[in-house]
Amino acid sequence: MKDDRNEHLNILAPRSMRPKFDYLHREVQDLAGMRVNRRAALGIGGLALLAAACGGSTNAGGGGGGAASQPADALKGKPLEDQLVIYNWSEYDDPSTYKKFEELPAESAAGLKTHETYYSSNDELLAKLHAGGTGYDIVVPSQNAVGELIQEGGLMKLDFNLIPNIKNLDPKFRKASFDPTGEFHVIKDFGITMFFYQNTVVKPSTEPKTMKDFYNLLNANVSKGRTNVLDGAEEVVPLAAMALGYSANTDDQAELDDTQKFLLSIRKGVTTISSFGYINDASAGKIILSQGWNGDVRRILKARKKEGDITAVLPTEKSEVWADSWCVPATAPHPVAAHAWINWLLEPTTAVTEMEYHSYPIPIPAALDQMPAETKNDPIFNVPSTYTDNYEYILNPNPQLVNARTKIYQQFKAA
Amino acid sequence: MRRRRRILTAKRGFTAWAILVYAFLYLPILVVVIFAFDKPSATSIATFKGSNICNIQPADIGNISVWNGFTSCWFAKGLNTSLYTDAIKTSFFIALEASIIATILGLGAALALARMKRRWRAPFDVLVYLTLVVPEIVIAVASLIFFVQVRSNLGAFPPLGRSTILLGQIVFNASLAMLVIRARFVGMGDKLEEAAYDLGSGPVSTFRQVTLPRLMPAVIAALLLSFTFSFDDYVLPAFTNGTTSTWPIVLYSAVRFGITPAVNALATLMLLVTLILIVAVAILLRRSRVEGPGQEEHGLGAAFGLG
Amino acid sequence: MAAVATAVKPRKSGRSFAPKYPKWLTLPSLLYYSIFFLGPMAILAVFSVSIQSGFGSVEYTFSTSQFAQVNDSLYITVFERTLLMAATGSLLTIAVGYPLAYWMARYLSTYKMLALLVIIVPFWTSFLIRTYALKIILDSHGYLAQDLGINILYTKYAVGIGLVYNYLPLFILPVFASLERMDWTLIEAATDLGAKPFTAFKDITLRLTMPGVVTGGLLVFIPMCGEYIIPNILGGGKFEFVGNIIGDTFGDAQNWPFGSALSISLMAALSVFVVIYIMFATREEQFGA
Repeated sequence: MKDDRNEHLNILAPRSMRPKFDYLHREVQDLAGMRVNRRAALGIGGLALLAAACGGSTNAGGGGGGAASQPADALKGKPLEDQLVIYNWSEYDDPSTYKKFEELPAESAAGLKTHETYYSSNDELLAKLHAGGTGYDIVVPSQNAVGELIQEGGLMKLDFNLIPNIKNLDPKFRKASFDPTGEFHVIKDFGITMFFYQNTVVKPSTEPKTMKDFYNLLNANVSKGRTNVLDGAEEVVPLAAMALGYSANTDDQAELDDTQKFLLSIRKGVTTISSFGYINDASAGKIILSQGWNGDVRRILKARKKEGDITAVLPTEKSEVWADSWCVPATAPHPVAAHAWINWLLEPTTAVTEMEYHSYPIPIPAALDQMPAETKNDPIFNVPSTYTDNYEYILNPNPQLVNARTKIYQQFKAA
Repeated sequence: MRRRRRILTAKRGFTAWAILVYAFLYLPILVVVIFAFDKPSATSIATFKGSNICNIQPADIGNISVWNGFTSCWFAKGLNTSLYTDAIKTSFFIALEASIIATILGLGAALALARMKRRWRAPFDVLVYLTLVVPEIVIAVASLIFFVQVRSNLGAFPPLGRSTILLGQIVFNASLAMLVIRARFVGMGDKLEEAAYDLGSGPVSTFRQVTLPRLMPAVIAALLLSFTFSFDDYVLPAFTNGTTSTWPIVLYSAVRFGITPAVNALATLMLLVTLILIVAVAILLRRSRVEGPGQEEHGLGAAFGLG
Repeated sequence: MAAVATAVKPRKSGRSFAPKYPKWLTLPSLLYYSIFFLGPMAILAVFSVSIQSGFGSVEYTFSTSQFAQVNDSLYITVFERTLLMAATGSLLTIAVGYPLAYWMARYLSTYKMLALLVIIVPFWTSFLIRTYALKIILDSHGYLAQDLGINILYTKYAVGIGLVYNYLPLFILPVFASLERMDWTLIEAATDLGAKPFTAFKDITLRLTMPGVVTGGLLVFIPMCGEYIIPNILGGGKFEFVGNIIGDTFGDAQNWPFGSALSISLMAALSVFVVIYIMFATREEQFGA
């Protein structure tokens, strides 16, 4: 930490508060008849002001909530650090988002620099955190990983006093099945799992509507070209379970056995098992039938607009909804900065930039309104609730289920 | 006469095979270079609002495994992406350090072990081969836990980052180096060394002037092998890197949203630099050899097989 | 350097003089392995007899339940398949690489090292980029394949090609280092005395360079057994090898005890090959090359 911290107080507060602080500074100078540095000025009544600025009650020292001492409360009044370490998927955020964050008044006054480092799968993230990897301030787990991390106490409870922009978020997305109290995550973006086919090659007799229809098409069409299913134990098994009408997170042995048999029965109809590598091929028209996340399917549709040969299907009945979230590890070295980051990402303008970059919806109504009409009204981007009401989050509730899923997945792949 | 023709045919056959293998090795490289000049797909250019097509987002770029037209803007884009260039630099320096340290460790071990009694050598051999037999993901996770636990309980190791990547990679690289150097050392024969001793040379100068130069090809092979392995290593650094990013880590993570030709452009530049360096070194050594004394098998020139 | 001088044994009459290098030269590497290899391995061993108590957490106890779980038809099948894949891949690599190394060692003089470097250079492009380039080449909808009528992407042939491509330098370097010190005049002498070229090759060259070939072969075979990324990309994710299983277990399932048990079992199985090699190689060394 810099020594000149004694000379400057780095304040974390909404930008709108700045005039008030300047006013207070001048007032105090007048009162004291001499120049006082901001620190002393704020020492006078700063804490109360800060509490007021954060929109909470002015319970002295209490902070919003007043629950039993949580780690986040200790953040109150702490200065903004000069570093923020973000552990994320590569190329998942618009580069300007980082730059603009560093240029915010409070952050640039603190000399805050962001530092990103990357992983290529949730499993890698989890393995590193489990093994004791520290040093990350922000991580971006998918919903099943969030649930796991909460279970093990790996995440810090968020202090929403430091995230006033949380009011911008659609309240429906505050709490979720993977984080019932909603204290450990702020949703980054979300998506669903759907499927698509090349209508010049795959000509089903009835229009496929459910995920089960998708699976049923595999065996018949694999000879005509490449088919693909999504990869990973936490995708393959629950998606198949849901297609059979079971819960994504069922741990009923009979249902799991059914799922396994079903998967083995369609194995021959699968050319590739891939979650990312297939997208380029699909854009080139080389995939005739595949599952896909809605953002990727939009990319493919856009790429093949001229040919117009892709029919995308939002599954009726069960399918997966997933969410990537911003979380702060319990061992984060720069928690205040981490909260500031999350707050920044909840700005509608930031959200719009982000959505335009990665093509997945962020549930901030003010931002969604600003998206171009063709995006806003695209049911694949803004999936109507008639579909999503039936969709479930895939979770990792306990190691036994995860092990069981992994085994079925391995048997599927090895078949 | 028949024998000479047979020998000539044999040489021709081998040369033909060599050409085929080189072609096989370089075909994908050619593809990498060609696609460094590939434009984004026509549809994505049409919907792009900016002026520099190389600024199109990875998600929107369309299919870049087909040829969409020529552009050279990816080179500038790649060099401007500090995410990539920093990672390449990091990978390079880690690989350099890892290969040097590993080769030194491996050289020492190879020298001493090759002429040791079997009784002493066997356990060491077992250890070395164990390091090669471990699947990389296993040593990666185990090393991560090891570094973290030792640091938190004994305060001993550096925090996760460049040094831990280095420490982990040297284990495998040192074994590689040891094996490569030993394979050559064993069959090298000791006549020259014997002669040197007879002529009164001490152990150190014998090593320096007789053994080491003759081992040079193997030492260099070990260095190259270690460097290559380390530069391209994904699994071990992915776990022991803390917050450091190496080139493979950045690439693997980028696959989710799409690799752009900027990456190909950087790879092409790296290839260019290496090829230029090699040619320069070859010319320099050739010249130094021509100017130097006659046919003795010593000096760096001989080490590079020049003459 | 008195210490070094005394380590040099005096000449024994009749036997060839082989200066022994002081044993302490092995200490640095020994120390290094002990800390940075045996340390992590000890952790692995401890995990393999523990029980999973939560995600990524472990109840320390002594139980062989993990190893009992390894004994399952799924894992055994996958292991056999992996051995087959690695053996085929290694043999192909040897078949492709040995003639090349031979050519370099025997027929080149001036540009020997250069030829070696030229082989290595492609491998300083990232593995991922190279493999995706291979994908483009092998793709049945791609250019080359369409011209030649090849459709092998996502089949085991594609995986085989990918393996050979990526493991070639690992094989060539040790073999080259070994071939390079061959005294080719021996071949000349043999053929002068009436031996057929192939016999000369078999009895002299092959025998003398066997240590290098076996080292190279093992250096390729063993890592191939743990390989899972190449099959994933070029095989379309359809092939499940031991590397995938272990990766899934540490990754998807966050099950360290079981993953450790799997790893130790794999290592034990592969060690069999290693032991054979050690016995073979050290025998050669004792009787001279």
